Amino acid sequence: MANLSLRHIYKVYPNGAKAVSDFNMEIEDKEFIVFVGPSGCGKSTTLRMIAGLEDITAGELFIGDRLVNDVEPKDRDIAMVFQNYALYPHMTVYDNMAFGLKLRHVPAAEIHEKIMWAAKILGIEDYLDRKPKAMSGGQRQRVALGRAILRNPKVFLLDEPLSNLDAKLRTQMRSEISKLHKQLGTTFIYVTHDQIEAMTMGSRIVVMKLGRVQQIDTPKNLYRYPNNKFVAGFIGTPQMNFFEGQLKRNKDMVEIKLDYCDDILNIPFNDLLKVNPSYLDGKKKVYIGLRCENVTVNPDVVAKATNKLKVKISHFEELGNETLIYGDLNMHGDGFTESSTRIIIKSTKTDLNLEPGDVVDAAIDIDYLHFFDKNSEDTIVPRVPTTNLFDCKVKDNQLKFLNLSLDLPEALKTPDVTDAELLVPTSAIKLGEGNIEATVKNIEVINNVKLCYLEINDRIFFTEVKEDIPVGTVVKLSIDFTQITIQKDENVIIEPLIERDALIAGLTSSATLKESDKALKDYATTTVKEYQKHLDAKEADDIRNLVVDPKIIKVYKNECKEEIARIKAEASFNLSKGDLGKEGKKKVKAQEEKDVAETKAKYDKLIAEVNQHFDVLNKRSAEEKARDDAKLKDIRDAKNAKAARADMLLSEYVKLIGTNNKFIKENSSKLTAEALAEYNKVRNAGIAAEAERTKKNKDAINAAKKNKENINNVVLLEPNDVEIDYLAKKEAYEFTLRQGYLNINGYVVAVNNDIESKMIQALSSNTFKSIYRIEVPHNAYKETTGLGLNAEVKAIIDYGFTKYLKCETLGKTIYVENNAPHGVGDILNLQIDINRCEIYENKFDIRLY
Amino acid sequence: MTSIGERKYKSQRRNRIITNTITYIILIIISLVWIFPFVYLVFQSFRGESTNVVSYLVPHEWTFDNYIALFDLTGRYPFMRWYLNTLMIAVISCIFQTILTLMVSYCLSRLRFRGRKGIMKMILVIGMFPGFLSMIAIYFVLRELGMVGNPVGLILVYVAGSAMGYYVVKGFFDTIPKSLDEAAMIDGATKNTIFWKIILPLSKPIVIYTILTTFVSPWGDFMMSSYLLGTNANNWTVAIGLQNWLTANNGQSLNEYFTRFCAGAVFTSIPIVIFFFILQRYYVEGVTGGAVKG
Repeated sequence: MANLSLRHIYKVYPNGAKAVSDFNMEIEDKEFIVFVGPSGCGKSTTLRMIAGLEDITAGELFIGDRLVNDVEPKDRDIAMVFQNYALYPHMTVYDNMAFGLKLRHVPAAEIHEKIMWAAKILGIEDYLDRKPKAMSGGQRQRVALGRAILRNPKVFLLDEPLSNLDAKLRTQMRSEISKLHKQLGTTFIYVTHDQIEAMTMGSRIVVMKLGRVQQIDTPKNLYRYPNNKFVAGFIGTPQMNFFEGQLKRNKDMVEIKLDYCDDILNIPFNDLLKVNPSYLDGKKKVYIGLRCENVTVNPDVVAKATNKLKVKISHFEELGNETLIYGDLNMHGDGFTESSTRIIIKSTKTDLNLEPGDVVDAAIDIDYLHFFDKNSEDTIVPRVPTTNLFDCKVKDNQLKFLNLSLDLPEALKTPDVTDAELLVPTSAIKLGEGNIEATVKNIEVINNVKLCYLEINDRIFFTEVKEDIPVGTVVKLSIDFTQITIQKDENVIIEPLIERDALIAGLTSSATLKESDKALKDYATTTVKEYQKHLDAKEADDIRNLVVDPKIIKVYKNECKEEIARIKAEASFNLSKGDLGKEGKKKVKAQEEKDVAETKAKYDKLIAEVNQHFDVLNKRSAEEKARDDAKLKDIRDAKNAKAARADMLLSEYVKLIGTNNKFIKENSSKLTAEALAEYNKVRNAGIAAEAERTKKNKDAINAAKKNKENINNVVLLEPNDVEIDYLAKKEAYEFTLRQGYLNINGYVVAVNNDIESKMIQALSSNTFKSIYRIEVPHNAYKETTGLGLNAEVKAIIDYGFTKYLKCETLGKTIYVENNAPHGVGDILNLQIDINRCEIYENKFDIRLY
Repeated sequence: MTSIGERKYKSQRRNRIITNTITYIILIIISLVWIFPFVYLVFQSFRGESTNVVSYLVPHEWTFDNYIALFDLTGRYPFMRWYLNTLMIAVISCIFQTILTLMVSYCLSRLRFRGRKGIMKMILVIGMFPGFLSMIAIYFVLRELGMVGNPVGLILVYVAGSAMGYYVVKGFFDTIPKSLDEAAMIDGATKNTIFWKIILPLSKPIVIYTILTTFVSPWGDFMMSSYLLGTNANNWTVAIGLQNWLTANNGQSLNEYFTRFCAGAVFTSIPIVIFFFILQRYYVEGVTGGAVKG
């Protein structure tokens, strides 16, 4: 009973094989999700990562609100059903089901109750004392299901649970699992390679191929709107028919020319509004997909149809209630091989009187045609289009398209051009601002995306909106010029600004400094030693705190009292028996006295031991502890002041590390020496002050001891300013010691713990060897007067509302969003806000942050 | 009239009878050669007319005296003491070896850690060297430790290298589906629980196989024990003692002790025989279980 969130999940094996790449998904509570795909597509790996049986290389997995990347399988509150059932062969069904609960120390009565409940649901009550060996496959799978539902998990994982069963049993279990899902109301994640299982069971289906998600959607949408040719071919039996061809727009109609045959289809352009317009030129090759039930040879239908194909029939597959007719569009084709003219037609009419070799007309339902790009195999009719294409021309730096005429910004000034194409991504159209007017024609909701149909001059185009806008409203809109493309005959005239700059970096920390950086090495060694000292002191402190517990004396005293009471009670009971006689009574009393004395002595000894222990401890540690306590208190009080200082020190350290930087190189020795000198000054002063205060405190304690006063009442000196400063610096240095830095060829950016831990999680021992690609958004640069990435301004790109500086640094071009007055040739010092960047491992392209 | 088919069938049948006969004759010869020493040993152990080596098989006079003499603890050669020594050494090292071997095999089968394959290969290669290569080194090491002449030292030597025999057991563990481990992990079991509660109950044949092999090898070992147990007859194992009966006094004792030696040898083999008879079924399963997936 929880939602799951998979964010940028990667699984990369040590040999570099990528099993899962960039898996993103939000799974709602109570959903039935099916992962489907051919073998080796990473579906099981993903499931096993959710289960915790495989490590997640990169990315984040949340179950509920809890990040579970590093949580053991047993603590993830999940249950899993395996393909081979994974029942413990040496245990009975009952024990198999009870095993997990026993390990969790559930009371036996409760276990029994739960098992009976699960057995009843699954109808295995009669088999509880059998061993798995004596059961059939279906029964075993039921036991496995029972074992899983017992614990009432948050998420239920099923790894091809039905693939070991025969066809009939599979159908039966399929509906039983669906029923179970309804009964339990838990999130189910189901892995299968069988598309029928996926379609019949899933509330949403994830289609995967080669470790990548192809499409995530409901079964209906997958069938109706496949994202690419793979999904189209994978979902549905028999497979979708694929033909090759081209589309050509003739005003209101689009002509579809099929290759290797003479057939031509005509469909209204209105049905193909969302088609990426560049495909309508009659040249680009596309795949045309058509499912077998959307084409018919039924003479009644064919007579009325406008779009027909000539099919040469080759053979039939009789399925009883329907017939699959195999044919070929090419009159020379054989209809057996899977070529781009082979066609399968499903006919529910079985008395068609056809013979192999006949040539017949087949009618096509044009509403159900699918189109895919021949190279990328992606659909060219996306449900949510990403790009609008317009015919345009540029004259006098004015962009003319539709009936609009827009001034091109300074940056995009180009020579005049006519008959060009303008590509405007849907995200570049911003409603509510600007002065272009358009009419809202329709709002379509597709999977949480609201697609807005806009019209200017009888031309429909698209954008995404957040709120509903009444149809017919006239809205104002503007176009983000940074995203547009203008091209003519495949020559790009204006290209959009790339979204992010890519910089290459390595990770370094003070521990991986080079030998040659001697000053830095010394500096690091000093800090390491300081840190070590601090750790030692802390450890000693911990040990003291562990041992000293005055409560134990009270416990001993109580125990002693109880023991004596017990002895006395026993004695009086013995005396009350009455048949002892004088001698016997005496004996009992003597025994009682002896026992009491012994007990007393025993506990006195124990208490004395503890007290002795305390004395020793007190002697040794009172002064140290008092001092440390005071110090800790002060450290907490001075927290804010310290944070500021830590920042200062950090930047100082960054300065030191960045000796590769050009600027630093020139001033390197001076700066290093200065920084070291400053540090040493503070350090020495701090140590001296600390030593002095400690000595004074010690003296005070000694004096108190001498005068037999209570040591705890002695007022100890607190650290002074110099000392606090020193302690703060010490802590800051300790922090910097552990700090990782992304070294962009000399410029160093500190990464926070979050980023660093993700790097280590993904790359473990290779963290410091790997090369990283940092993708920096244009607005994540900040100019600084201090040290930073040196970049030379090469050009200024002015989009009117904002300016971008095209800069060159380390042989790379970056675009800096910056409205300050800068000229070409200026050198900028840039700081990068690493938290807004994306970080990738460069070699395997793993997104780390 | 016989048809061609019938004739063919008859000739086939004749061929089969001839082949079978030859095969059985060869097998009988081999088994006679193989069984003769045992029969000789048993017969000689019951011989009463003399104690020296003789050239005939069947004794002229049958007696149990040789066996009774084994229980005599007063003589120079306390056989029962050796017997108990051997039993103790074999049992203790069997317990430790079995546990070690099983655990190591489980680790190598189920855990994935750096250097796993390297370790496996290394053990395999080292295992190819005969054990006596290290004998002298072991002797000196144990002498430094003051353990020569001490059964504990011998047990230590037996146990130390036992994990090298992980191969068969690992092969068996590998056939147990990993999804059982995973199911148990999700059920909340630790590696330890999985080993004791899931893997071991499923591995009865291989556990018994391991117990058998680890018991038999110290029980019959002569080389290591003769080196490490020193000269005090009270510390000896059966193997050393029996050998001593044949070679003491420059071989003079041979004729004095030969029949008793035979009785001792028969007596020593009894527990092993019983052991094998009881556990034979598991032993076969264990040996073959590692190779073929069940």
